Amino acid sequence: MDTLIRGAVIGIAAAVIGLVLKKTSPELALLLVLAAGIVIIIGAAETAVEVLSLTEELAAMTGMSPTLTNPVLKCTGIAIVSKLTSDVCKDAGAASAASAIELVGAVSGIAVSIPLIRAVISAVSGAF
Amino acid sequence: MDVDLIFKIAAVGIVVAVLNLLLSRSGRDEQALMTTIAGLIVVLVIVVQEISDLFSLIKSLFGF
Repeated sequence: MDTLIRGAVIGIAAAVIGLVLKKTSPELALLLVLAAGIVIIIGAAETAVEVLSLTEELAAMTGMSPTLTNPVLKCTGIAIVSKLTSDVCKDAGAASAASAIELVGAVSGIAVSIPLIRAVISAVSGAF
Repeated sequence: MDVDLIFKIAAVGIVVAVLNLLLSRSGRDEQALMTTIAGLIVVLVIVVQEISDLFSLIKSLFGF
């Protein structure tokens, strides 16, 4: 809860100061808000580590090999990076770059899940 | 949480804004532009470091 409140306060403060800076130098406002987003995420790292270790325990309990459960985790990371960076580009008014980033994020997600898809295909074709 | 970073960047932003206003009002537009660019480069250097920290954190957290 503490992490969340600190993150929320930093976010609101950065957004308001960004509004002030936007009039004189919009680029500094963008950098400020970007830095605030990064600081908030890095500050939540410990909480994220706890959640992730729990998911790893659950994945180990299912008994599936790590090649099958790793893509899920990697896709989460890819989703976070592509969402954050595409929103930063939209803040700067570069919606085209934002769409390009999201497209590459989707393709990377699929690329990372290739072993999982192959395993499903071989399981399905082996059942017939 | 590195709150000081946010306030550092905000302080640089406000100083640059004030200097920009002063210089452009006294007619030195090129120097105003140069101050803005200098402030931008300073903040960019700080933010690039933070971005690289974030990406290495995500890489280590999600097993890349």
